[in-house]
Amino acid sequence: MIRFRPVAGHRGGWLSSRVLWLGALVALVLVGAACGSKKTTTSTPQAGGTTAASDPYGVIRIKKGQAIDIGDSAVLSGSNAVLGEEQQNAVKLAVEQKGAIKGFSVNVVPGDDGCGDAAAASAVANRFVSDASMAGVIGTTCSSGMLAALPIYNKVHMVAISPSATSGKLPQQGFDVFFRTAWNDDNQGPAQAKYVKDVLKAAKVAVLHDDSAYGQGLAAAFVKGYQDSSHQVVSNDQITANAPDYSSFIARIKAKNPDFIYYAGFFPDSATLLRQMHQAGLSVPFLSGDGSYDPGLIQKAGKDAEGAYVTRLTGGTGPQTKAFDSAYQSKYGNVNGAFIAFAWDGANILLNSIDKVAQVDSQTGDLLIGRKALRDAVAATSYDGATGKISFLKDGDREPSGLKLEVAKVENGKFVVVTQ
Amino acid sequence: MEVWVQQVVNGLAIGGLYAMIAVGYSMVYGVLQMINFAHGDIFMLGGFAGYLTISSLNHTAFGQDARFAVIGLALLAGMVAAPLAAVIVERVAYRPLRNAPRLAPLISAIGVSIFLENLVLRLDGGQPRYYESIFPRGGLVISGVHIAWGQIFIVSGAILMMLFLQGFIRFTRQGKAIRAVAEDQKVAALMGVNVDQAIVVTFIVGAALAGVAGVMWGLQFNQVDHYMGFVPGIKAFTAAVLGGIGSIPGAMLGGFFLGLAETLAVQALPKGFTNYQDVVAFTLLIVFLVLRPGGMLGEHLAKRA
Repeated sequence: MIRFRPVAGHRGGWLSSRVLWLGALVALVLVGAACGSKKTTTSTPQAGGTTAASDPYGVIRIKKGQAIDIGDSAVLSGSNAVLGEEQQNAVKLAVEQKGAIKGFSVNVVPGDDGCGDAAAASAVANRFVSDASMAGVIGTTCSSGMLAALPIYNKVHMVAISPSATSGKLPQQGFDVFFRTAWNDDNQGPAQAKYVKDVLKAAKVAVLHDDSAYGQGLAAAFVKGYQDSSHQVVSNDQITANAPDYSSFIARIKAKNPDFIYYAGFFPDSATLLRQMHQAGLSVPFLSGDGSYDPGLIQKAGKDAEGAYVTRLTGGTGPQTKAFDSAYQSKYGNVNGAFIAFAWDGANILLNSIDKVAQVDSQTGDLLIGRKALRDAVAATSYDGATGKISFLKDGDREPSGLKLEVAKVENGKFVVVTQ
Repeated sequence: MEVWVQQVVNGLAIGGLYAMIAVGYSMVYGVLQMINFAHGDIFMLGGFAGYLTISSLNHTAFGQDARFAVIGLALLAGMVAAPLAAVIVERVAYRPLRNAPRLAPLISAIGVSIFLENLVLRLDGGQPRYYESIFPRGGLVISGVHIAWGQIFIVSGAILMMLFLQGFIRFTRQGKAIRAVAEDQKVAALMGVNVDQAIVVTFIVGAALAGVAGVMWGLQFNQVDHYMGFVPGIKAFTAAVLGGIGSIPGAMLGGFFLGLAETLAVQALPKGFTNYQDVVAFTLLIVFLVLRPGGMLGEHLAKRA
């Protein structure tokens, strides 16, 4: 069916234009190479008069007068973009509040990791690790992205602190650069199950999840905690994330007569489910986890969000929490997203650790940051943050003491916290 | 049983949208033997035009019934904006390549698709936009089967537009010209048919349907973003091939068929595999093409090949 029809008369012109294109391409490659080489000169660890220079994982050298780069790997486009934007705001706020570190300013480099998009998260990670002035990374936003990006950060021993990748799989990967300020879903799932059983008194739950690393893990943890002789999971199905139409899934579960819908996934899909549940006349309570605890849910689902429950884990009630809330609020408006405070805490931990280990080279005036020293400083964190006291377990997971489940219900277009 | 009827209703609704997009693929293929992979993004532009219309007109200021006028204006905006973009794309990216090797316009189309997605991403940011919920909620309930007003609106809209289109292609002068160009471009030109004009009209008609589908999509699923055209575009292309590419009734049939296949798959798939609905749909495509390469109504293509 495919026929080639070269136009005889235009051969010469076509050829010469091809040469032109080739020339342009070569020029582009050269320009690119020139730009690249400028960066790489600073990446090799050099001997200096300080102890940081002998770091076994290598040393990040920031030239005098340049800025320390902090990577912010977040979902900045697509349905979940709100989550990434909140993360970025929180990181920027922390950087601003911290000011310069040992006379070096800090620059936030954003990267769009597309949430569940492994390719995008790896691409961002590759870009970040090739940035010779990058000290560490906040991110990724989502668990699937973190699974893909961790091996890349690990290769160059670059610390990555996620504020919101909550999958139970992540600490099991065995990468010592991994840390998170969010708690493991294995804490949230059972707590949700207890709430649904004891407070909401649902006996026949239909479980849905989005088949992401996050959704899968959280749904499994919920089911494990929920199921017993008097509490039945009537269906457990996975939906395609970010699809526009879940009416067929809703019809499927409606036929099972559940008295409760539980969904593990992100807010855009929660909103779609809520809208289409209404459309299908399925009016039973709905509960979802921290991935759905975002004002975007109410924005997207409108009136159909009324009565929906969302949960998250919290630990902070101290003065840090209030200070952060008011600082964020005055700059960016409402502070309702589940992970904003976690991102701010993560950024502060990274900045404080850099401050602790960075040394100014007395000869050149450059800033030296030992990679292992930085990792160890993060690992040894004991920090009183907006989300409570933070320290890390051996596997990078956040120490789970002091956390509790916060349940909010949508009432009159707002999240109203119903737990104390 | 009730649940299967419900799934058929759900399938017809999403299928109607696929059908409306599929027509554009099919018509352009019929006339130029080219797969216009930017068509999904033309659909996206229609969705955005509708969004801009609805969000800039404050319908609540004019009372409840004003929303129907706003919906009408939004549909009109989609119907104007999408063809406008399609005409520019045709002029800039396809017409210069009309005599180039077959692969050139295809690659150009993919380029246009990426360009349009990124243009909207840059202009609007990566955040999705939510349509206001102005479409009437609720619907009919017939012995336990819920049929939302939105679903009725989509299916009847799709069928109505197909009928109009069939009439246009069959009975008008311009429709005749399009058919002549599809049959044989050179001979049509020799007979005095304005080939360029016929091709432009083809793009306009296909894009108008896609633009309306974009607005209906927004009204029904209430979200538009720069990437929204990709998956529906691929699915509509699949529908066009299933139905027999080049055939307008085929595109419609293929659209409904694909929508039904997707939703019925969700019902039929065993526990733990429900999100394999797309796998089912695309496996169907492959099986169908192996057994019947011309698609359901594809004699037209068989003759040409």
